[in-house]
Amino acid sequence: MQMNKAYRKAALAKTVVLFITLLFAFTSSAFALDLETALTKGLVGEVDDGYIAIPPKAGNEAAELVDEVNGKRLDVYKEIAEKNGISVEATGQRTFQKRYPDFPAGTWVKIQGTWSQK
Amino acid sequence: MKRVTVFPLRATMLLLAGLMIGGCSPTVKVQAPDKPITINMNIKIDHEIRVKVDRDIDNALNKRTDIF
Repeated sequence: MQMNKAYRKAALAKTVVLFITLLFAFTSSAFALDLETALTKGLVGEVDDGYIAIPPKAGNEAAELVDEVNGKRLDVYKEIAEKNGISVEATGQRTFQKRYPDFPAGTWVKIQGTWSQK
Repeated sequence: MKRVTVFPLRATMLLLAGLMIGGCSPTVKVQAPDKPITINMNIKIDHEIRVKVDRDIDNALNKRTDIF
């Protein structure tokens, strides 16, 4: 009986851990939607250096998202730059150039220091 | 006696031919261009790097849809 109780407890603990893991997985997958939503809503815009920033009069709602996305982008740019022996800056700029045609109309973009809507 | 008259003619012709070839050869001379080759190689390497970078960027864009 004692053993059975202990087993049940362990099973319950496992279920809780699994539930928490799933919750985290869903939260991180919802992050993809967040950038897209933020871009669609105009809370963030794409800058010609390959990073995102908050357009004028957009409020500070997406500040955390900007830091997170830019940090991850920097890692990607660094990897490509090191692999090809070019600068991280050039990699970011080239990425913006390549992505620009795919930005939906209305997306906020900052080119050479000036914000505008595509 | 005939040979004596023929020989100078042949010799003259040979000399003329030699002079003509000699006179022409400097214009045919090809000088090795060193600078254009270096520039062309730079362009080629630059282009190759660009193609590689673009491919790496495309891969990253497809893989990291969460941040791009």
